[in-house]
Amino acid sequence: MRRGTFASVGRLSGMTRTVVLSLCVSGCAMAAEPDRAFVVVDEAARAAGYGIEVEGIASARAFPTSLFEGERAAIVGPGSIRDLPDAPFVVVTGETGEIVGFEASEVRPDLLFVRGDAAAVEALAAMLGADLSSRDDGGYLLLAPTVWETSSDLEDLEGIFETLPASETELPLRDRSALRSAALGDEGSILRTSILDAMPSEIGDLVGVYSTPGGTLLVDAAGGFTLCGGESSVSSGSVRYERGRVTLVDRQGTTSVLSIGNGGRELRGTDGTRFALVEGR
Amino acid sequence: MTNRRTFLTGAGLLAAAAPLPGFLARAFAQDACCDERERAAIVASGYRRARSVGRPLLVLVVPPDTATDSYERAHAFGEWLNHGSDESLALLALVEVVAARLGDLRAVVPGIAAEGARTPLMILIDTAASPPTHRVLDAELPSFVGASGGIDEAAIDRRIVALGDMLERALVPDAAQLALLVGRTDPRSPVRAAPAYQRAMAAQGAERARILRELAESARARFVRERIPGSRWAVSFGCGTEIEGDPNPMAVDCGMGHVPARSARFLHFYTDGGS
Repeated sequence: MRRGTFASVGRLSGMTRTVVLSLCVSGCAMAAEPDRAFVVVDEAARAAGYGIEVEGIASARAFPTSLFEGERAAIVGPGSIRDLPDAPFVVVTGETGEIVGFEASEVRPDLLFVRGDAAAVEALAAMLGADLSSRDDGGYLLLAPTVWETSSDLEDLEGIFETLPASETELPLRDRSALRSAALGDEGSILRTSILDAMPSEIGDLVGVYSTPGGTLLVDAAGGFTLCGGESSVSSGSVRYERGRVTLVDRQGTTSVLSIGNGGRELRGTDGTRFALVEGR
Repeated sequence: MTNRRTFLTGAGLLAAAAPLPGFLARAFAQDACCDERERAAIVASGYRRARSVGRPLLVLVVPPDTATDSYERAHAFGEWLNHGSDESLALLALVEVVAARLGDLRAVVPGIAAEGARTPLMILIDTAASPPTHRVLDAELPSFVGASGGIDEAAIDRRIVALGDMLERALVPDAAQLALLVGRTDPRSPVRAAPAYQRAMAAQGAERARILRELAESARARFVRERIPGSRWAVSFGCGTEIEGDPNPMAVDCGMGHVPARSARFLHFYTDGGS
């Protein structure tokens, strides 16, 4: 749906102010200079009654609204009407409708963060011809050269809750604190989560120290193992990975099969013996 | 020693079901566990983290207790991490980092402990190769104690630059090697530092500085504000040592030494005694 046919949101103010938009011109650092600015209103702000009014038409959509130079626009909400900041990317966020502007250099122009149902997001990605990746926080990233331009021309889709800009390091930008901490600040938790979710597919994915009450099993990256049950009792040999299980073969050729559980964090003997991965910190 | 009752429970389970071959049962028919288990687990976990996001693993090598350069090495790493430039620390956003002794690397690079007479400063492990390959990063670092016995600030500058240069030469010596790192980045991963670094290398001026700053900040968040697995951060100005997160400072007679300001925060390594 084009802006001209946006459904008017009755509870929003009909007032507008003329806003001189700061469009990205020669000084911008982005690879592809946008010819417009974009405004998104996040889910919490929309639920609290905030939206954007452009040329007298109010709307509150999950997708970005694009604004061309000279258009009159304002952020409207319960009892308020506020000017847009001088920035090419604007986010209206939270129950209070806080307005946050981002410079072009702070936003990846080819990435759009999306929160929504998986099926709806997949459909959106197909519609935009964008590459889709999922994040550990439940959100998604759509990657396409003109993803902002094309998504801002879409009608709302059922199952799409909100869209946001993403930083250079591909974290959603809802406010500036996110940008400050961004810089992969919570990467540690992302990495830890990705380990939990990763399913082993080769011996390298199973490298680790595993512990059971009676001893310790070390699986090394060269396809070997060392089993330590005491200072004078060490066995070693090779490890074979097969789908869903590993086979230990000691130097005498004796074999033992262990099944892989819990995403590679556990090896289980046929008697129920569990070798739990020791997380080294 | 391992708790005897726990051991008996485990051994009893094995004996009762007897599905495991003799060597497993014999291995567990003892009452002690590997003393080095925790340290080996630190390296193995770092390796798995690195693999999961397509990054190399950088090991800051902990020297043996008998090494004469342990003190200076711990401070040199601290100077680099706390006072390195954005350009230098941005490289650390491309890797996972742990601190470990060579012997603790046996889960990842078996046999490495027997290499060479000198304990290198760092080891860079290619987690994409199977089995993993590694590069030794080493150099003689100048002491921060000058010839006259005073503090040599220029030596600290040289150490910071040397450690960063060493990593750059090993990690991204050229555009082709950087492209390899970019190619190994899982496109589904939310953590894509290598593509960002590549964009920085292609950019100039303020844009380049901005991306490098963001990458460096990500490295600082992971390795400076947090501890590096296998080590803890400690602070000393020459009168006692405070290990961050440990309420009990290690007492030293005041006046016994002086530590330069940029060297005050350093890496305190895990060793046989725990740390």
